[in-house]
Amino acid sequence: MHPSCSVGIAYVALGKKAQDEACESIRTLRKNWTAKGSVFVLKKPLASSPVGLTVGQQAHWAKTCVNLWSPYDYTLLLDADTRIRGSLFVGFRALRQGWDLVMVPSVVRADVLWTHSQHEKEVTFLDTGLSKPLVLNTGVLFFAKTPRTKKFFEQWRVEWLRFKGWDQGAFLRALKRAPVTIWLLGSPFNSPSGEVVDHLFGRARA
Amino acid sequence: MPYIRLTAVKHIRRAGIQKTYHKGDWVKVGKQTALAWLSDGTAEVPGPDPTKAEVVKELLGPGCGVRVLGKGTGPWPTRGFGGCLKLLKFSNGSVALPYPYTMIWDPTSTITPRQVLIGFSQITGREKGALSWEMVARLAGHHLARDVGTKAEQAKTEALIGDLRIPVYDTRVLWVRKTEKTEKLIRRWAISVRAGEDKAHAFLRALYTEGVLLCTLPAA
Repeated sequence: MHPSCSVGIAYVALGKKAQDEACESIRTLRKNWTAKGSVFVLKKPLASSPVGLTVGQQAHWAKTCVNLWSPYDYTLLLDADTRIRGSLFVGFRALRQGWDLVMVPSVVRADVLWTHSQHEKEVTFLDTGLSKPLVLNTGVLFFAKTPRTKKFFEQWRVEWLRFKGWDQGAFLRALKRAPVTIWLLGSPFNSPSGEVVDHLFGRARA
Repeated sequence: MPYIRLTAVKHIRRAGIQKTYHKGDWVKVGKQTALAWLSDGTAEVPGPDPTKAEVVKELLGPGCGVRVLGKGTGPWPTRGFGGCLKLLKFSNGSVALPYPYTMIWDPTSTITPRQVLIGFSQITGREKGALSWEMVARLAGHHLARDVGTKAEQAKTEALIGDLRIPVYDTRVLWVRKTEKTEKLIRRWAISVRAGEDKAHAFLRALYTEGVLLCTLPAA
C-alpha cells in the first residue's frame, strides 16, 4: 500500500434509527480508538437502488455497492449497530500487507445461513459446492479498492439481486465466481460483547 | 449435520405436526436419520458424490496427489479416501508440493472421501463454471493465535500481524494448487517447521506474508 492511500470508515445508515445507532457507534470509535480516521455515513438510498425495495433491502444493496460510494482507498465498512471498544488498526494493516478483504467468520451454527430462504440456501450450497461453508459476517468488512475487489463487488451485486434478501449467501456465491484474498480476524472483532467490536445485532433495523 | 436434499417423498414430524416433503426439497433432520436416508439413496447432499465413479474421475484428473507428512513409508490409514484412493498419487516426507494439486495430509488426521473430493474440487475448479481457489484449509476449532503455542511464538506472530486475536488453521490437512504464491507460502512454512517453529503459528505467518486465494472451511 502506498503511504498516501486514503483510509476511512464507512457506515450505511438509512432512516433515523440507523442514523442514531451510527452516531453512537462513531462516538465509541472516537473514544476508544484514538487514531485519526475519516468517517463517511451514507444516509440516503443510492440512486442505483432497484425500484420497490424496502429500507432494509436498500441498506443491503448499499452495502454491496460500498466500493463505488466509499471515498477511501482502504475502507472499513461497519454496521451501524456496532460499538467500538478497541483498536481496529490490525485490519488496515492487513490491507496494507496486500490482502483484498479482512473479515470475521459468523458464529458457527448447525443451521448455516439460517436467516435465508430455503431456496436461497439450496442455490448457495449448489453454487459453492459446499453444504457447510464458512459464513462471513459483513458487519465488519475491511476492503481495498483493487481490480480483484472491483470484480468481486460487481459479482456480489449480481448475486444479491437474485433474491434481494440477506447479503451473506450472495457474498459466498460471489466469492466462488470472483475469488479474493480474505484475511480472517477472530470473534473479538465482531460479536456480541466483542472485545474490539461489540455487535448489537438488529438494533439498527427499523 | 448439513442440509440434505430429498430424492423421494418423506413425511417429517416437527413439533407434533407432520408435513410432507417432496423430491428436491431441502430438509434438516437428525444425524442418524440423515445418514440412513443418504445410505438408502432417498436423500443426497450437495457437492461431489464420492460414490459415483464418474464424478471422482472428473474431479481427480491428472495432477492430483497426496503428500503424506512423516518419515514412515506406510502403510497409511488410507481407508478414508474411499474410491478416491486409486486415482491419487502418493508420496511422503516433509511439507512440499510435488503435484499440481496437492493434498498435504498428516495421517493422524481422519478424513472422508467427501472431504477429499470437496477439497480437490475447490482447487481444481473442474466443476462446471467454477473458478478455483489456490488453497483450501479448515479452521482449528474456535482457537485463536493467543490460545496456542509458546509465548515466544506468539510474540513472533504478533510482531508480524499486529494482533493475536486471529483464528488458527488446522494444518493437518491442506489442499494446494501449485502457483507462484502457494509455492512461496509452502516453502516459507516448510523452512519454519524444519527449524522447529510452531506449525500453526508458522503457517499463519507464512499465509499473512504471501496472501493466497484461500477457501477457509469451518473446523471438521
